Amino acid sequence: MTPKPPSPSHPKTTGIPTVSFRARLAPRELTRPAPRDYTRLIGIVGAVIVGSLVLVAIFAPLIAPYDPTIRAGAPFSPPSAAHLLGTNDVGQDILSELIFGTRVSLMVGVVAASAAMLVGTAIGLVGGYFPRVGSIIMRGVDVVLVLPFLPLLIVLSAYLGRSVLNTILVIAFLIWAPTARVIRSQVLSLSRRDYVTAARSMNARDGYIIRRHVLPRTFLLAIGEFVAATSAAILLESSLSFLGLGDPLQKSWGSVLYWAQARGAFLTPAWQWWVVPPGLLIMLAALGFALLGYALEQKINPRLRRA
Amino acid sequence: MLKPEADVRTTAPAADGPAALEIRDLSVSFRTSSGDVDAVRGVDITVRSGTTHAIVGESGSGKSVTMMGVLGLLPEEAQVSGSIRYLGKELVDAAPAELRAVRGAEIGVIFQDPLSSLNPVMTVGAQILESMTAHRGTAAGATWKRAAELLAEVGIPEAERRVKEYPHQFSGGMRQRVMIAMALAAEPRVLIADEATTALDVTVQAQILRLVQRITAERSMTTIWISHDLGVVAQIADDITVMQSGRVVERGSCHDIFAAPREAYTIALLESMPRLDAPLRELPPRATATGTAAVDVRDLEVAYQVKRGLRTGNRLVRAVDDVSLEIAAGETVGLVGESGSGKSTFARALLGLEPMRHGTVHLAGQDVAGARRASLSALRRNAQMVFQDPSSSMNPGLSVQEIVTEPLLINHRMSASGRRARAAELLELVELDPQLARRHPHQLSGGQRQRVAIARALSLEPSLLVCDEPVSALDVTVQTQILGLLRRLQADLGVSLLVISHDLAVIRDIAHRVAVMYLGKIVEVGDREAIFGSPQHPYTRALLGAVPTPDPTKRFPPTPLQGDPPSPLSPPPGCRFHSRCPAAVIGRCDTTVPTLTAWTPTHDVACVRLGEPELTRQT
Repeated sequence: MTPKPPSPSHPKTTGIPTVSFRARLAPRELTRPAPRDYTRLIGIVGAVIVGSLVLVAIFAPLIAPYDPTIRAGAPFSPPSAAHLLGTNDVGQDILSELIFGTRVSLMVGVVAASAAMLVGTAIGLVGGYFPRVGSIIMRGVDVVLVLPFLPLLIVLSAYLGRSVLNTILVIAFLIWAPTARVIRSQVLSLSRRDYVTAARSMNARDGYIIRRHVLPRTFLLAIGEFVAATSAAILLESSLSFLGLGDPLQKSWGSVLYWAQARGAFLTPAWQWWVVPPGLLIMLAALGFALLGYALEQKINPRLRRA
Repeated sequence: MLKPEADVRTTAPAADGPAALEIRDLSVSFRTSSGDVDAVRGVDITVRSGTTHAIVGESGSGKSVTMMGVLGLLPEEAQVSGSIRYLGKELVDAAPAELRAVRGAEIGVIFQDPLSSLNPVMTVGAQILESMTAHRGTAAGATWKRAAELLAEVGIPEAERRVKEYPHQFSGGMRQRVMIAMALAAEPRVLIADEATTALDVTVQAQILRLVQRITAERSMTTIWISHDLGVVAQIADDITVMQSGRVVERGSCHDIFAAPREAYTIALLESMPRLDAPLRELPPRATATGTAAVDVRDLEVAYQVKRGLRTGNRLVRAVDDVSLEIAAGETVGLVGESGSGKSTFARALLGLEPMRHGTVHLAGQDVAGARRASLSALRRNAQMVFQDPSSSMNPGLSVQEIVTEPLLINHRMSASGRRARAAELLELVELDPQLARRHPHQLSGGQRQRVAIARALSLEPSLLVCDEPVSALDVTVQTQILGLLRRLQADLGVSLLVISHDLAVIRDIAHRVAVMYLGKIVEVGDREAIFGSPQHPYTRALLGAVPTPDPTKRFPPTPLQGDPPSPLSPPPGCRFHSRCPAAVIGRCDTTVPTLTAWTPTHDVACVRLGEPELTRQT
């Protein structure tokens, strides 16, 4: 922010003696620097984290030094050149477990978030576009919103049985409600715009209005919601697996932690290579998606956008 | 048209009294992601003590930014250079504490929208008290009694009681009075009014103008009045500064500027302003054929259920109450009235956008109310609407071509290529370059957008065009062009127009016939010449009398109309206007509901006292 040079296009005008003010006319920089907008940076950091995790998941067989299901070394080995993060109680390579676990964690997160977004968007759309129906539906949404998360999660997955599909369903059931709320408020506002009234006066049906005027501008918002929901879904999946309620046949970050806990690694020096790395990965994934979601939302949601 | 800024002339020596505020070479620019925007470029303004100084300009002229600069309220991205002196004290790089000592305490402000400037969860009295203590730094003297006195001073009845009420309990005009009371609370010497009456109805505007004049005279305050409305300015200003694109175009005394404007821009502004004392404009002739009327509305009632408390139950609000109106083919009918009069609801009901409680609407001879869905859609295509704000009535994500041809798409007329050709035709019809078809609304000016909105409404070749405040969001120079376009389209296409406006001068410029609405009822309807030449209803007269004339030699006579329009929730019994009517006779007007009666063959009036000689004298 450089001070503006005195503009030559403003020669003194006639009429009013201004010479005495000359001293005051030196251009000054008066503004405090505006607070920097870090949204872009946050978005980039989030995107880099998410991008690397996705790459790890895709190329897991190439990156991982061992097959995580085989016995690759002596049980309970501390980190060494052969096993960077040591081995677990049955001699499986922990690093490889974590690399392959990325696949499950991300997959569960993304699929559950997609399902939640679809349900949430549909319900938000109906609830916002038809306010009478909406006022009833949204009471249901309120109920889901206030349900205690973890206890319900445990009860549901215990009841449904341990499989990846059930994990996804349970998580999706728990996280669609906030999306529905956000989408509904956007649809409520969009469907009361003058141009929607204009379209009605041109004889447009509801289907046309939703397709043409409401959905396109809601969809962007749903993307932001989706990314944020993924973060929540990954955390929930880890919690479930950590509690031993995940699919026992799939290795995820949560299940690595579950076994670490079951074998007492939390109390031995093994926590450094058996507990901390999966924990950090969970945190990193949740953070990455949350940052990306925040940046997207700032860009998309007009209500949050800076004037 | 615009001369180089070095050429700014001074019609009269502006500074003979001591200056309250001296602005010298003020420049303000905003840093945006798309480069710097120079909002104000080297402005000099001298405001003499004890006078009313008006700053006039269209949107984007920099008039508000200049005043925000005076108040130190510019956003942080703004870069300010130059000098602003209040009684010799420099404000431009004053410390925040110094600035606060001036702002509010020495300079009070009234903004345009009193509802958003008042805190909804504090009583008005508490807000006035806050304003007193904040600027004096002490609570001494800041008493509820003092707050009530201020409310009484700004003309709020029962101030003692109302000081404990919340903003939502006040009407729009009363809220603006509360704002004025707050601005006065710290006893400032300068009052800045930024479009302070723009959002108000004309009768209320007239009251507020008189109030501000009275108070500033009593307290010998200096007033800076920012406005786009030359009528208002002519009524109250001593000096005028005309701004355009961030520069001062002309300055001088009010009388000189209105009598002999020297700059082309000022002349254009004055000429393009529709005014009630101009000669009547030639209108396209109405179709003389006696065929069916384009619109025939009989006894239309639109009502809403309003939820109230548990015990009181629901109430019915009749927004439009037994309104009958006929519009001939090729005719323009103007519908005027203050806010809440039901004029927009009436228009929306015509288009089938509001449920009718009873009554009939015939469009081109066909009954809309009785129509089934299929034929209703055919009927709807016969009537199209142009909305007030062109920027909100178009989807910003669509291109101009998509917007203009949307009605064709909805009604499955024409292929994509046919629509493209039709879009070009329509844009030419509204005098726009067909090249604009690929642009998006935000790339167009306000006037261009309204033209696009008109083109869209015409794409189905309707027989009736309903224009709801078609020009009130536009600058005066653009207004004139849009009104001219509507007249030309009517002459060329023979379309009937229903033009809704709160601005009587606009209606006078375009409508063959005029209907005046008050609280859901038509109180007077007749030919333009009759309504503007010999209005009979006291309300019509009051409305006409409250319109500020852009002529400083013809300042207001005392306005006869007091108070605000009552809420449609509880309309007064009998004649709905009797509670504000200067000629109301208790015992008749509050018991008898007047019906529209023919005064002349082309002029109907709904007044109980119609024809009585005293009626003319009292209003």
